[in-house]
Amino acid sequence: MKTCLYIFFCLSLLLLSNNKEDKKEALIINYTHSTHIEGLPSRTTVASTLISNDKFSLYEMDYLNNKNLIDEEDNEEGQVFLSIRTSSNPYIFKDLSNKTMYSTERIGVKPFLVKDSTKIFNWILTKVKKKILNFNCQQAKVNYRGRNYTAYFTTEINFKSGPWKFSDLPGTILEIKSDDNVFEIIANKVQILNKETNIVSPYKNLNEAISWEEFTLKYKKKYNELLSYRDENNVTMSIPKKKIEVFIEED
Amino acid sequence: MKKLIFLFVLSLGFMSFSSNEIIENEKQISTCCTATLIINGEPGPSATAFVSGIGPETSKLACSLATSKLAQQLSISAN
Repeated sequence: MKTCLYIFFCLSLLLLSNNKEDKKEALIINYTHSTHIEGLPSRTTVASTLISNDKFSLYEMDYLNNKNLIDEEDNEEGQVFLSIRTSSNPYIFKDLSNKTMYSTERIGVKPFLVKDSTKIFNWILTKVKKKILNFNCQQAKVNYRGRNYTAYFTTEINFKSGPWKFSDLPGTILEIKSDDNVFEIIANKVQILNKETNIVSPYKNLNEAISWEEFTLKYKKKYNELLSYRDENNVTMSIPKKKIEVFIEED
Repeated sequence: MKKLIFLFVLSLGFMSFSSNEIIENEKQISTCCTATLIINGEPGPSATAFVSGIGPETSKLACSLATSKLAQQLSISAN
């Protein structure tokens, strides 16, 4: 009798654990995504959403529905800023199994589909902790392409995921800020869906993507070409040395 | 007499040099304006126009040239 009960108990445990492994979940996090890149007159803040399952994640920045974007700003020092939105929102698509990510990057106005690795972050975990949306979070720091960032991630959500390009922490990133106040993403709401959710790439042909290294080479080439450009009306052109990521180091 | 003629020729040369200098200085006065495109919150290309002269009308012209250049870039990209 005791043996039967013991076997029954073990079998039950085994069945329950198998069911837990088969359970499909998806994570949806709403963030506030904010940037104020050097040289621009004002900060741009938009709502953004991360959706993630165990294979893929998709981060969308909602510029299209942002009513607060200022179209034109002048300052008194002979500068005009013209703000435009693209016809679709920008996305960061991550293939978690292959540890790659895809994004649209621009040289001037020309877009390029760029493929990058998600294993590019050399995180340093610290002992600093704080609560975000009732989740216990640990601090991590990283230097990523010219800026220092401080992130808070939680292991209480059963996903290893993060907003924008950030990833490769042992949990879900709920907050990340650059130490120079240029870049900031903060979670507002976390949902876990107990159902299988398909995540599809928003880009038509991932095979056409160029690597980040190829892209930065093209960017530097264009930057140098424009240094000597002047048209028939005596107008010169340039592209910035940095956006969120630094392309051209300062001398 | 010869000295007077010599001094007269020298002074003519001095005056022409001075007026050339003034003309050169006027040529060097120009106004510039830089127009920058911001795409989805990120800085895009900038165009800077230089126009001879000073004043609000010159500044307006320079900014107009710079923004036209950016519009041209956008239209090339769209096509």
